[in-house]
Amino acid sequence: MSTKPEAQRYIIQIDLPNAAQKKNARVDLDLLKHLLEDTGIELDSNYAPVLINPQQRRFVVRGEATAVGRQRAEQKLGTNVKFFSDGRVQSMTANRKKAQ
Amino acid sequence: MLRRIVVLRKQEELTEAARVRSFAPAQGMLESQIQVRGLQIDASYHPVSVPGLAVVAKDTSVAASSNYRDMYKTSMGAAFGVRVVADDEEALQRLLRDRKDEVVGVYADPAISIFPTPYCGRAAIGKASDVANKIGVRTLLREGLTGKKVRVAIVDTGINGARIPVAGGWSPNPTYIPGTAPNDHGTMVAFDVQIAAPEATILDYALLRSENNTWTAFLSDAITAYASLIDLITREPGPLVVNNSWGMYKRADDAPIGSPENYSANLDHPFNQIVRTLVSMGADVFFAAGNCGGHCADPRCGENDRGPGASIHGANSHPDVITVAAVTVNDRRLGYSSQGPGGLHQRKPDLAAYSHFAGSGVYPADSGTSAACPVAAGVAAALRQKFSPSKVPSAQLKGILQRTAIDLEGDGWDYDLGYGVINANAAWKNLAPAPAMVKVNRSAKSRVA
Repeated sequence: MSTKPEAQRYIIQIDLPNAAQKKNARVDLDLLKHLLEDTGIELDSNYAPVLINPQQRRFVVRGEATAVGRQRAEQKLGTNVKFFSDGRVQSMTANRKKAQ
Repeated sequence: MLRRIVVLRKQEELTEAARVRSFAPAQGMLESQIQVRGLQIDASYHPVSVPGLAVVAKDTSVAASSNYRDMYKTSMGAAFGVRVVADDEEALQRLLRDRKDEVVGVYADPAISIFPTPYCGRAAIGKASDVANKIGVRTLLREGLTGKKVRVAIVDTGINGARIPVAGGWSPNPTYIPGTAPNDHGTMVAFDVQIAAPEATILDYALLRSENNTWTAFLSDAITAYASLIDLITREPGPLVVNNSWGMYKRADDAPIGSPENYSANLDHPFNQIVRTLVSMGADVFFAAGNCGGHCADPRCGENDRGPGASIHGANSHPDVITVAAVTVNDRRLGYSSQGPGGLHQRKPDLAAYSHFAGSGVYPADSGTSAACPVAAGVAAALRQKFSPSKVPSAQLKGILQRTAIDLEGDGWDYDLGYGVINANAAWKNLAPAPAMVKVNRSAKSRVA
C-alpha cells in the first residue's frame, strides 16, 4: 500500500513577464490555476493573487504542494515560479494570555 | 582641559609607588622628568602597573619569546599608568615630543558608569506620562505636532474603536469590521502610538485575527495586508506610518537558512520584497525587534532563537525598516528585548523606545517590544505632520531618528539598543529649519551699546 506524499503549505511566487506589455490585463486565481495545471498543486481559493512587484509583474498566491508537484511546476514555468515558507507570526507582547 | 592616562616606561620610583599605592615615591621624578608646560600630573592617582603585550620596556626585545604567555609575563611591571590633565592638545603633543623616551602612549580617560542589569521583572516601571516626558513630547506639542492628518496603520490584533477611534482598516477575516475588536493587544499598541501622536489617524489592520483570534497569522496574510497598504498609499498619497508589533518566534516554523524558501534571512522572500516596495513608496515602517533577548526570552522563542545574533528575524530585521528594541523609563534594557545582528541586516536593532510601563490599562504593563515599537512610531507620526515624505524621505527620517537617539550604553551603536533611545526633542531640532538671521541695523546696535 503506497502512502500519499505529504503536501506542504507555501507562498508561491509567479512572475508573468509577458503580461508586462498589457499591464491592465486581468490576473486572477483561475489564470494562475491554469498555469499550474497538471502539477498537482492546490491553490487556496480564499487567497486572491497579490501583486508584490508591479515592474516585474510578480504575483504571489498561497497553496499546498508536494515535492513532486513543485518539481513539475518548476519544469513547466522555470524560474518564473518560486516557493517560499509561509511561517506563522505572532504578537510581540509579554502578555501571553491569548497569544499561545 | 583634557583628561588622559599616560603610560610610562619602567622606572624604580614608579615601581615603588605602585607597590605602596602612593603617589609620593614617584612625585619628584614625575615633576622633574615627565611634567611639561600645560600638563599637570594628578597627585590623587598613584602609578599603576600596566602589563600587556602592547607595552614593552625600553630594553626588551619584542621578539624575545615565541610564546604569547611568556611575552605577557615579561611585560609585567614594564610600564605604569599615571593620570594627567592637559590644558590643550598642544600640551599633549609637547609631552609626546619632549618625553618620547619615557612615554609609551597617551590614552583617553572617558567617564564610565555601571551598566545596569537588564530588567526581567513583571511589575510596570513608570507611567505613560513618564514615557511622554522622556521622549520629549512637550517639544512636539509646543510646535503643534500631534500627528494630525498623519495615518498610522496598526498591523495587529484589531482595535477597540470605542476606546481608540479608527478611520478604516483591513483584515484577512472578511467578517471583521475595523474598530470592533475587544480591548487587547492592538488597542494597547494604538494607545502607545497616541502618547506622541494623539491626533494621528489610526487605521486598524487586524492581521493577527486570521487564526480564530489566536493572535497568530501567516506571512501570506501579512503580504495581503501590505498589498492593501500599497493600494492605500497609491490611491491617497501622503504620510503613512506602519506599526508592526509582531514577528516570528520560532525559526523551526521557517525553511532552513540557505534554502531559497527561507524567510528569516532571505530578502527574496515575498513578504520582505513587499516591505521594500511599501517603504519605496514613502511609508515609514516600524517593526518590534522581538522578545527573544538573552536575559529573559519569551517562552515561545525557539531554543536556538534567543539572545545575540539569533533573535531578530525576517522583516523585523529588514534593512529598510526601523527596528525597535525596548528599555524601561529608568533606562534599563528590558532583558527580553531581542539582540542583533539581524537575519536580513546585521546592524539591528536601529534604536530603542520605552516599554513595560503602566499605560493603556489593557494590561498591568504595556510591555514587550510590542509597546516600544508604537512609542517610536508615534514620534515619527508627530514629526510627519510637518515633514512629509516628499520633503524628508523615509530613509532620511530613519537616519535622523538614529543620529538623535540617546546612547544609553555610551559606546555608540550596539546590538542591544542600536543607536539608543528615541528622542523626539532632538529629532525635531535636527529637522526644524534654523531660525532666520535677525538683521540688526546700526541704530538698534548703537542703542544696545
